[in-house]
Amino acid sequence: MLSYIVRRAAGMVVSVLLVVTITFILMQLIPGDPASVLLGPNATPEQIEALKRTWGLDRPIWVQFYKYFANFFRGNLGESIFFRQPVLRIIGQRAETSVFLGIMALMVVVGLGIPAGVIAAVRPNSWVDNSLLLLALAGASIPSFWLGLMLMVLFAGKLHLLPSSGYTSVIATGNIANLKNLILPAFALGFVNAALVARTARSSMLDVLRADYITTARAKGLRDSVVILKHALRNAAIPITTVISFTFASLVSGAVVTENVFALPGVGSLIVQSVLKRDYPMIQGIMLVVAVLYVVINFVTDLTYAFLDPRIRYR
Amino acid sequence: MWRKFVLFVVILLGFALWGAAEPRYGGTLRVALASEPGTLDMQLTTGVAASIPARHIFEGLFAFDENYTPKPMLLEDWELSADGKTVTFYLRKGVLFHNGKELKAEDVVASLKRWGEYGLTSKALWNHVVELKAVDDYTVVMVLDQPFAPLETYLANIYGGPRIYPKEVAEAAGGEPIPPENYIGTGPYKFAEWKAGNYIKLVRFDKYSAREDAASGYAGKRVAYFDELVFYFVPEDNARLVGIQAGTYDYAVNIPNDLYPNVEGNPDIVPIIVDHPPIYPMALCNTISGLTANVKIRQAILAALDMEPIMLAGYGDQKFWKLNGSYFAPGIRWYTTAGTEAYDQANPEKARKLLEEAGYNGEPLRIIVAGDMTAQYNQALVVADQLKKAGFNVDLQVYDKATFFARRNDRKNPQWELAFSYYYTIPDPSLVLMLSPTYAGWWDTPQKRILTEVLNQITYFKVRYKVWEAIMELWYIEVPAIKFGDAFQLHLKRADVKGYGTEYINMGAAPYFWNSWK
Repeated sequence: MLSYIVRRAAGMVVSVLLVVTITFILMQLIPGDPASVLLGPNATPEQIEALKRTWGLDRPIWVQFYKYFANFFRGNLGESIFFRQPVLRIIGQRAETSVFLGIMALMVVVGLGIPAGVIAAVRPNSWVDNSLLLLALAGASIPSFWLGLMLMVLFAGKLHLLPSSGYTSVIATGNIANLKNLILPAFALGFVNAALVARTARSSMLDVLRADYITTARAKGLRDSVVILKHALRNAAIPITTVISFTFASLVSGAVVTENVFALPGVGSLIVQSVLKRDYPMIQGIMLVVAVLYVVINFVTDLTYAFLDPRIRYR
Repeated sequence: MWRKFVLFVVILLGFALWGAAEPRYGGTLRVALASEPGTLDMQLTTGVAASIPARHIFEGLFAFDENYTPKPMLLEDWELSADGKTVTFYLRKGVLFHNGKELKAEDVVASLKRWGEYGLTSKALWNHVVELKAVDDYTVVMVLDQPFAPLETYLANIYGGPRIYPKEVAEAAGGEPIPPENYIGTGPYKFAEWKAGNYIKLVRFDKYSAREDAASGYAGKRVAYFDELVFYFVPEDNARLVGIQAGTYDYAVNIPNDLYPNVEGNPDIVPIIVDHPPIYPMALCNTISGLTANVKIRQAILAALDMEPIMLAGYGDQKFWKLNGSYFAPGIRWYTTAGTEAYDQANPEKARKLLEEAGYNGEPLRIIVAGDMTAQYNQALVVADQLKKAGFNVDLQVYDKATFFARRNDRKNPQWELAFSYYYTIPDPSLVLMLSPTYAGWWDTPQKRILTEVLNQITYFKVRYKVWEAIMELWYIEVPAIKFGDAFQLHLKRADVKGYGTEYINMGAAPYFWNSWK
């Protein structure tokens, strides 16, 4: 087990370094630069060049690359060009929104997706199953931004029940009521992802429910609820866990469109803004954090398999 | 009894209305901006989104009144020598920066020097400045090598213009944008917080030294009634609209015109159609390389275009645009019809003839546009279609904004013939960007150079106006850019935000929130 963890950790480091390197190269390849974005469309080439010189962006790429990695290995990800603050501090500020949004959306995903998948699998080809499949198909087909806008128009614009957009930090203000700003985006994001989980849960449960040990459990006279929840769901959980874990990673790191629609200061919108502004250190920093998030969640998910299914052993 | 009751109700209503109209202090105004600025250091940016919060923090020596006439702001008075070369500025006494320090001549000198060196709109003036010095704590002298007619206009302009900072802030920043913790100005609101990706918060500056003269546009007396101004970044158009409907925001800028029916007739929301002054959608022509280096090709493009469908595609309903070939809109003192007979010709036959004369052989005409500038993108589609019908082989290239501007501004290797953009109304033709030989399109013929020089030197309006008319005539012969018309932006405000009147409308796309309350 220990050697497995060491090998995986080494692989994780390599993956993260690759992501950072590829991001660096790609950012150099796309046209545009932060100086011309900051100075605006009416700046002269001389003014743009002068600011690039001040920021050291006129140096050869390999010098910039060396400097970045020298700082990187010292744990310094640099400063955002636009915010003039350390990259990690800005990501930390934005992470609160994304993590809360991710958790709330995950509650929608799990709360809707797993029950829907289990119910559909228990009554295969019934009207319940068909209705849930249809709903899941709709969920997978509806773009989250459209659903978000519709929810915003209804619950904020017409009924005035929830705020339309924006978010104020719960941690900074100590006001937990600010979480109501995340209800609509969490539902918009969660509903779409719940469809995927529901379909995975259904197919996984269908496989398990056909297994001999389920027939045995039923023959022993166990209640349906015990058979389904204790015997079947746990064994069907591996593919569901995989889907949920990656859904969570994408909810936290990549709710780009939803965050944009609801004007949420999260990591997703930070990615878009940083790319549009060509804020190189910021983009590098976010990609690093997102890469770490993915490899860690992937790793933890792998370890969870052993807990869910004791037959799995790591060497 | 009944009559007494009616009288009572009328008196009550009267009090209610009087109360609403009477200015009162307190509260927070929440403004939804369409984008997050890169910096509020206005010497180094021309962004309108930046100017909206920055205008409340920083002030200049002059400010524009509602007729776009520069009026003293931080100045008590100023005088120009008889030869027009020596300018003496007398500062108001007792004006405090937000850090408690009094504004002195050394701050003005340091700020103007930084602007002269790095400011985006300083060069035309700064090339003529031979000396700038503080004579005493409240007097600054600027010596020029020749008269510079639009001096006050340049000093009042906020976009890339000379805002006045404390000496130590200006000197420490050099060519880099001033960091937010050093946003120290003399305005009625002081900088409090910038939550990246979320909002910029300003709070009232209680020791603000207001002018005594009547408020007019950005000039005159400024009173900060709101305790706080919070500028939220809400990039999604519908979110700004719904935010106003839901009461999440009090004011929202740049609502797409096609969303207007959603608020029409809503008593809680006041739509503001910013029709005076408008914005000017245009296509720049590359005058130094490629197909359009040939003036006949540029004239052929102009001849081919039918402006009504182009404006319709960009701005929708006709209440949001007007056809106008003059650079400036009617009602602005620089408006002229000179040269505009060549506007809106819609004559593909003439275009074909001109192409033949130019020896056009079907080479691609590269049109570049930013896909996220929706109106410009829609206009480019129609222009491309009209040019194809006139015989052009059109290559329409769509980019994101950063790529678009990088390509458009690349003088060393320009890879385009037409570039779509839009321009805000400016107070003086000397600030027209296309007149600068370093601006994209790079229009730089001898006639234009002479006329621009004269425009900048002559101080009499009537003579300058004649020169501007000559420039417009030349514009329609040499075609450095093609103007499609005048377009009006849509802003929304909640009905309970008071204090807005014609003075706001006159100031165009950049609203201000002093002298407002709710």
